Amino acid sequence: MIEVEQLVRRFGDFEAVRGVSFEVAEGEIFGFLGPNGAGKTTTINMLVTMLRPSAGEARVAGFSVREDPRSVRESIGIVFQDTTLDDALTGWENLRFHADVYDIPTKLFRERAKEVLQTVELEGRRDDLVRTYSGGMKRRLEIARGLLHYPKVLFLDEPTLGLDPQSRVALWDYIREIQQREKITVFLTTHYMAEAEYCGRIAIIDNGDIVALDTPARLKESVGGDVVTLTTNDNLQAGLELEELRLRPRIEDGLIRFEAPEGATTVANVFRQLTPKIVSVDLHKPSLEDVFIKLTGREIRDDEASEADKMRSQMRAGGIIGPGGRRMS
Amino acid sequence: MTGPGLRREVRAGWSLFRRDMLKFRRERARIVSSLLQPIMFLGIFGLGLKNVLGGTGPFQELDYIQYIFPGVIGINVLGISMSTGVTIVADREFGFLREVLVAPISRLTIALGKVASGVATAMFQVAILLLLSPLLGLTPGFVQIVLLMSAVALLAIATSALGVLMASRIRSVESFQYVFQFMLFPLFFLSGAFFVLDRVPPWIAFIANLNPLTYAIDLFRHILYGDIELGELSRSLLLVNSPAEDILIIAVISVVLLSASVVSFVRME
Ligand SMILES: Nc1ncnc2c1ncn2[C@@H]1O[C@H](COP(=O)(O)OP(=O)(O)OP(=O)(O)O)[C@@H](O)[C@H]1O
Ligand SMILES: [Mg+2]
Repeated sequence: MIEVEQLVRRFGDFEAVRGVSFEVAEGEIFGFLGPNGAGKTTTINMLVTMLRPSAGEARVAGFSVREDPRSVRESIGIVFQDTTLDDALTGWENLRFHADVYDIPTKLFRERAKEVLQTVELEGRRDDLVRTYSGGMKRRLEIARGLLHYPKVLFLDEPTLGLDPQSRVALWDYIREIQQREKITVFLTTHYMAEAEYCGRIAIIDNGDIVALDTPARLKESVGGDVVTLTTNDNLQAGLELEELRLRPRIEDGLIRFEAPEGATTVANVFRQLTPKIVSVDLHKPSLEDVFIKLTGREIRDDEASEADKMRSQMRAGGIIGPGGRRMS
Repeated sequence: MTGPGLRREVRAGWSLFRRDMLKFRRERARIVSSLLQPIMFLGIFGLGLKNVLGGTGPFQELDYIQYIFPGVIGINVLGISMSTGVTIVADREFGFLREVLVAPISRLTIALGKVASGVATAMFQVAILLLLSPLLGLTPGFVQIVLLMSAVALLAIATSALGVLMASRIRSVESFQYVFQFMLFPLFFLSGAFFVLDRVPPWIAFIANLNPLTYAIDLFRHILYGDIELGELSRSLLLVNSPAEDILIIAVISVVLLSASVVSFVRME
């Protein structure tokens, strides 16, 4: 459904996307996972024909984004990272506008609009101005609108941005329900590790490059066992001793980190053998966060990301910068 | 473009137009304030300068307030239709423009839909302003009103296109308004709206001759002064060109601005 080959986007001298390649099969939920500024939105914007690639090629639903952007547009639905609703119109009016520009026959539109509104549980608010909706309701309306014209591929750029945990879970339920019912292909981006777990396959993207691409389960396996984190009163000495035990420790930010297939047994063993005093210990099954740390040596930092979200929504409310304005130029 | 393709574009253009009209209807404050401005002009200039200029030259036969009324109409058209450009920039700032741009419709349709909205709002405002004309001693008949509205539409195509052209180049509402104010002033005053341009320096005459408003106001005067007895001298001072010349020149300016705005809008990233 989506084929991407050596896709590059430069902004001046800066390479935001550095030759990414991947394929997404029909009916798949495919996720792009990466920290702020990784190049997720830039990639999506090229796939939905809003941004011209600097090099490389991408085909969506069989059409080239360079040569046949119009056919691509007819085949896709998109929920942009920043809201694109008209909040001076009602929910229903927003949907009707969409039906007009996508040329959905009026009768079909009425049925379909009811159906998608029901899915995202907004029938009751359809005649209220979007201005009066909560953030989560706006997001749901945007998803409903993205589905209105029966797209083959649905693009979601950070669909759960700025939502509380319950709303996020609910939104994911909709996404999966829709994906199964309509058999559409879903391409989404996120910087929440937990969400990436819902995807069939994920590509981890960092600094414009795909650093790993697989199912969440296999990515986690690739970490190589349970993740152990220790602090001791002499990390350097502890590191040397762990090295002797062939545990391949890494010291980062005052923490010693290593992976072991049988975590619990290994930790017990380490407690017995280590000469420096162990101050704290953490043992857990590998998460996607651990995959990211292992691949890049950094953390994605959900908390930092949500700070950025907050700032962004404040700026939007205050009208200091235009959402989307920067990305469109 | 094939038949069904064209039908799709028309539907999309219509929905853009309908959305603008819906929003216009809901923004009472905007309608009222854009009517207050011309009324202020009529009051301050018309009544205020009446005694200063009254009784001299052509104003022996024509009230000064009658003199500026066509100009006030022209300025109102300019202000309203160019502010359609603001709605594009605002849509960009609030994100809605991306919903429009990512849809499978042509940019040409989007630009033309916006120009249509500008023309319609301008015509609506002028229709309301015309209700004032009896108070000023002008009593346009049905034919005059139809002619005037057509002339307004012709001018509004040019000015709305100018608004779209600016919007395709300007990223923020604030800078749009800044540029808009900057352009409005010379367009207002160098158009023959407030004073006769017979004894101005050549550079002012040059600018006035490029200004579509100059011709539009001249045309409005031809239409509105139909019933007023004017002497030869007044006639030559108040009515500079023939109606046919005016129409031709505004039409040319409209076509140029419309093409430029469409090209610029299509190229916009
Ligand atoms: N229009 C632009 N001009 C210049 N640089 C840009 C532009 N758009 C994006 N960038 C840069 O490209 C990089 C990737 O941005 P992008 O928006 O794709 O990141 P992202 O992965 O979507 O991040 P986030 O999680 O914050 O949404 C960033 O460094 C950003 O500053
Ligand atoms: Mg992004």
